[in-house]
Amino acid sequence: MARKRSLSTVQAALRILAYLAEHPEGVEVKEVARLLGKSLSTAYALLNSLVEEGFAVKTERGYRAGSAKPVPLQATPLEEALEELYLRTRERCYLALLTPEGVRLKTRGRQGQPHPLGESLPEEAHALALGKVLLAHGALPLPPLRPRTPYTLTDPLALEEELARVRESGLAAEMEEYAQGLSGLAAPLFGPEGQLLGALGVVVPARRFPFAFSRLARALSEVAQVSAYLKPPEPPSLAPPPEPSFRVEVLEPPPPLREGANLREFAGLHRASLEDPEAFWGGFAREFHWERPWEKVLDKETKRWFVGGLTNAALNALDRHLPERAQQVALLTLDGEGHLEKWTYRELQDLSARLAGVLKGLGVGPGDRVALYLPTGLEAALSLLATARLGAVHVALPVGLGPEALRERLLQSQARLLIAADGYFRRGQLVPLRPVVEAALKDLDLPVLWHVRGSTEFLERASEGSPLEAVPVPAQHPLFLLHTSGSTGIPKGVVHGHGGYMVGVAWALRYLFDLKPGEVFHTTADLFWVVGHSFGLYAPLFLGGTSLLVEDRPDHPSPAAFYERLKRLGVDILLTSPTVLRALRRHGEARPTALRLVGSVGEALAPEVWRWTRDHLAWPLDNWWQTELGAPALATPLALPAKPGYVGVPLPGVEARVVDAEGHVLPPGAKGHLVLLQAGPAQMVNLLGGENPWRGGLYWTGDLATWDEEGYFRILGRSEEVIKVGEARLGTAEVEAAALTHPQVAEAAAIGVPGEEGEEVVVFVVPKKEVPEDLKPLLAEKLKAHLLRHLGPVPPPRILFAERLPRTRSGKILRRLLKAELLGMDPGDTSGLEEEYGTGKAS
Amino acid sequence: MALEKLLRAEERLWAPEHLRQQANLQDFQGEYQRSLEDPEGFWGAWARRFHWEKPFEKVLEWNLPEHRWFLGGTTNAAYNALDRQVARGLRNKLALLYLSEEGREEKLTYGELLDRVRRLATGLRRLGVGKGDRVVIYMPLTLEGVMAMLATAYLGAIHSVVYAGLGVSALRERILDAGAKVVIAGDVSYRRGKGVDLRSIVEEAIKDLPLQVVWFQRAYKAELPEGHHDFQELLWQTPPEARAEMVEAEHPLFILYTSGSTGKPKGVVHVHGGYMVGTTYHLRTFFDAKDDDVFWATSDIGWIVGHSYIVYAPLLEGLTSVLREGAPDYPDPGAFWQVVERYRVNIMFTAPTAVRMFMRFGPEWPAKYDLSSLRLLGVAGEPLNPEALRWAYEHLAEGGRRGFVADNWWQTELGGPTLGTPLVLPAKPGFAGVALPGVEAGVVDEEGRPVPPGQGGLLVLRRPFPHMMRTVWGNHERYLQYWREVPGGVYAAGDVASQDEEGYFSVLGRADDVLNVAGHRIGTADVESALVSHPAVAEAAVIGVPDPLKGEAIKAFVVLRLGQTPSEELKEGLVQHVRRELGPIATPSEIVFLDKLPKTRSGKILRRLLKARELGKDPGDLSTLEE
Repeated sequence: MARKRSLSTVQAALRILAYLAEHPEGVEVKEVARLLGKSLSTAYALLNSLVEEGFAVKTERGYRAGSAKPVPLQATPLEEALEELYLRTRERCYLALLTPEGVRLKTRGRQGQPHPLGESLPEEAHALALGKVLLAHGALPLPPLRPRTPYTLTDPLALEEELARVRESGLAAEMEEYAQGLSGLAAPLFGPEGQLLGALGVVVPARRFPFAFSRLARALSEVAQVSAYLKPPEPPSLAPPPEPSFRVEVLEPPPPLREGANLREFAGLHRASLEDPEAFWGGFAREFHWERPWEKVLDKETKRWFVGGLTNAALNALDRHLPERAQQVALLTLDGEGHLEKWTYRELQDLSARLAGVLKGLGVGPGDRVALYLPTGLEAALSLLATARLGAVHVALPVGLGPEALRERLLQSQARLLIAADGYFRRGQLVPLRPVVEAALKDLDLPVLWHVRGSTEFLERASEGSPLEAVPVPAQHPLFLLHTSGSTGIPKGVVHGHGGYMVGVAWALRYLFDLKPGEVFHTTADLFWVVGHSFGLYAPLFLGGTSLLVEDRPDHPSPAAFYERLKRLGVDILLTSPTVLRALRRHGEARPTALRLVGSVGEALAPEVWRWTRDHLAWPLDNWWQTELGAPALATPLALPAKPGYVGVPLPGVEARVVDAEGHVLPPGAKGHLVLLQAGPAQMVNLLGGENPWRGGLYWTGDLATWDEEGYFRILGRSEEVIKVGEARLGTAEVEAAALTHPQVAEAAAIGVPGEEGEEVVVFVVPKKEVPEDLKPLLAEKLKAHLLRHLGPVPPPRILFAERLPRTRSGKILRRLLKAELLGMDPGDTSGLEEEYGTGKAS
Repeated sequence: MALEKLLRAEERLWAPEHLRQQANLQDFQGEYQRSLEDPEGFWGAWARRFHWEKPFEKVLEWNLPEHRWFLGGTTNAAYNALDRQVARGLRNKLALLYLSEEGREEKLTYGELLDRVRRLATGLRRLGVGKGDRVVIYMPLTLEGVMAMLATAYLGAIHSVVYAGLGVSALRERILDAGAKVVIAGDVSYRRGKGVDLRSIVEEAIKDLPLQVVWFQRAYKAELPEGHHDFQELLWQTPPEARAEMVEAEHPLFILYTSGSTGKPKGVVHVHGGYMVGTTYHLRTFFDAKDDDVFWATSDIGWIVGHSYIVYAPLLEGLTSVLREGAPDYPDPGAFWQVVERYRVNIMFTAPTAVRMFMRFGPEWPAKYDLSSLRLLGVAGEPLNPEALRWAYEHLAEGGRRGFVADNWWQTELGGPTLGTPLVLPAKPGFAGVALPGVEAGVVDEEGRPVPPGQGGLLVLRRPFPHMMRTVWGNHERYLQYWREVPGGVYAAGDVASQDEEGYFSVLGRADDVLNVAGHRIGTADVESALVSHPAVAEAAVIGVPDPLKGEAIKAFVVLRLGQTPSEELKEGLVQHVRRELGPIATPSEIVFLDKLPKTRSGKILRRLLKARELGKDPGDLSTLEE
């Protein structure tokens, strides 16, 4: 009897594998879609899941067969059982088989029915099948259900009651965590000798489950008997032990990226940078304009760079490129109202020189501090450049700071002038700033140069100034003061200089982020954070590049708009944060862009997010640094293979170690404090109001890390964020990375609270989809088990659900706030808190 | 001795020393000699600066009057203007800067322009446009107009831009003559703060023609009938898939219609290879363009100057080209100078009629603005009278302390500057300049015999250059006439000129019945036929009379049909009629009703007599006048 069968996912996958084997030269996605008669997105999903399992490899123009080989399913009679079950129930059925390689899943369902688990089968679906087996192990007594259900869908209360009874039976479990509104039922398959072969299950919509239960249970118990009369296909064995807590994958960048990179050899270069900084940094620095050359590249004693040199960062950002790049677009600005504008190097040079003239007219001179309170955009960029041109020091204060925080910083920096906007756009809404500024300035005698939104007043005022030549200043002369985000308490004022900063950030953009002439660079960071200073403005301009500045949130009004923007404006390289990447991942499938590379900075990039980024956006460039360091210190350049989860190796000029609390170097694999023996030229020149991180010849980063034999570092979290659970020391980042490997988890934050054994780990979880209240305990249990599997033998963590995590505006999780809320303590300074957090709801 | 004295006394206006020293072409004489002695080596070397998919094997094949260049080579002018620049790292450099009268700007980088052109080319390909197909473009001076040209060229199709201002019959005639498959048209152009309706002209011109129409709609989005498409939709709903079609060097790039004395407009054909090579050569050597210059040709894409120096040459050389829609003196007479100041324009290319207009407004207007960026003002289109040259030199070039005024003479047929005053030579008021590299020019009598210096005669060219036209579309015979008009195997430009001892040419005016109104060539026959097509008109004769601003203005003599009475209303009606038929540039400035026209015995209208009467001159030999 010829039965018309729909192509199941597994069948489709097998067909693709056969096709890939026939075409060693590689196939394109559309060929696969045609082969299967399925949509392109289905083909993508299938291919990506095959790539993840190693069966296929993504190439430049498509896919080719991978090295992993599929395990042939030999349990044909069991497949028949699956078919039998389907024919009896006419519902979606599953067959889970235990093989030496692990669980293999097969499915059979009605034609045209959407697959309840989505297009790809996550490993957790296998686990579900096994879980069912364990639940139903032994016998299948019918629970006390009414044999013939009198209920109809119009009686939801009765239905609910019946459903509860089914759940109580222990034979069925909710599948909400995999697919909303589904319930499942499974039976074990025993071989002739009573050994467990696998499981057979059926899944139906939860609302129909009570009606169908008796019928399904009967069909299942009968069909499940079949296996007892079979010869076992292979000596069965249990699934291999769960993955080690952190599986290290080593991934080579795609050859075109690696071979075309600005930096192709790393080890020798790194050595040269440490052994002969004069030649290494000096050679690069000579590309810039120096009014007077330096006498010494690096004075190791004082950690001063380009000693004796005179230069100006704004001159090197603009004037140096004239006239060659006069008509090249330097900045693309997209304001909160959606106006896109292009500014050439000539225009920026002209406007900033004139604005510098205006500032001079207002009494600003070299060394004076100019505070800026502006949203990302042209006016902010001009203000930074004009201040730098004068040799004055810009103090950028991100909009969103409250009046007290603003006042505190204005006082600390002793600003001579404030340039402020009267509003900024957040999610399309104009947020007024004038009241904040007025409250902050109360009784202060500080002149304000206003940028009135919706008018060209500021630009007109600027263009009336007489152009001012850039003032050459010593390399160490302060360029800016920037307050570090408040994840560690009271804000510190970090001071960067003109010379070393210029050389350091430009080097990183060219050789780490691999910017090529004619490319468009974009960072989602606020222009007034260090990432925005270094890579939104200065480094792209130092290299004569083109940078896109966006005022509003990257995903406003939607993630689709973000992708569209990247595509339309031809952004080649994106520098963003794991927060943004997680948000995009949470949203689902990405749209095609022209991205070549995606840098990630701000916190540890979990392997899951790393992989998602690679599969959906572009090759990820993880990197680690701090406001104090000005530019990346640890990273994985394209010349080296990536190890997702490990941020990478020390970059030129940087030497790093993992040490214990006394500063003794720890061997690879051990957890300890990340310290730097040397930092690159972009490091700060001064620090206001904080403890000097250089102690005993070491720069204490305050982060916990481990490193491996090859010198790759893995960041585990802030050292003040280490959790001592019993004997174990867990980094918050470590726990969070483990939580993120669960498919239900969108975001996670781990904290330690006083508990029975020293500290107890509490994990705040933001689920990918909203979880109904009554299912939360179940999901919490699942997550607990999941975490234990990844973290090893530690007391079980507590799971709390949240809608959103409190973050600083630079994207760092404010764990301190979660802890305070949980323990009912004072949260301290929350001025750096992102405004959308509201109240961190824990449930 | 006396002559030497005379020459010394002659007025010479030099470019400033620093400009001459930095000129791209320093040794003009040497370059000129090389260009004539070894044209193949000379043009071949320049051509190799561009991308050739297949390199050419032979630079020139010259069988009088046929000339073919860069044989065996394949290339694409639009590819060289776009893909090549993006590959050179100019992706984020401004290619085009559009300005409206009210100062609204739109900037387009090379990367964006390439993206748009690829999209539009993909869309046009879907409409069935392929290599060799003709696309008529009737677009206002906008970025979209340039995109339309480049997208057509990208596909190896042939564009024929019709100035969006020409009237119904002029447009229809050109669509039919070119055999266009697709028309890309704008619905409105903006001038003096007002919208000028183009839609109704196009609709009437294409009536009953089996055409696909792409509408660039700015005024409002109309419901479009079958076969009509919206420009923006076509652009944005197609992916940037198209790749440049590589064509033979001699493959037509565009047809551009120009008026002749015979009535029917001539479709001058230019080709990818030679046009690309020649126009860029003069951009660099005559206009002295540097890599980072902002270049502003104030013409329109509807004319040859717009083709060569708004679109192709600046983009082929990676410059930033400015286009400004609207009137030069709107909103005020300082509008142009504001643009120069704001965008730091380095080189400007305009027409004598514009210079005369600036002159009339007075030097206070340019003086208000910072013109320090402006190095060179090219002027072409009609003879530049000495007063205008002196004025421009004084007030736009700071009397030669900052810049230079470079007069030049050429034609639609010639693609780029042919006679002109290069930066390194002095300008002489009243003289357009010398023959430029590659050009061998002379002044001859009707028998082809050279006339002595100082004496008037016919301006002829003795050899072709790469950017010279190849044929007249659909009428090669008409092309041959250019070379047969005057004995001796020379190209007759149709202009009367004289040459001085130093080789400077003075172009005096047309030798035929063609008017030059504000730089635009208008055939008297065109205007006469337009008048006669009016139901009230029996006969008409048109002459050009001197005009302080436009150079020449159109004066029409009209004989009415029996039963029609002359009236002011009828005059106005006739003016409007011609305007609608031919477009505003051909509007008669004066209409005179006559009982009959002076004619020869053979029935030809004696325009000479009308003109002589008009100017109060001796009408000359009237022996053939009808009684």
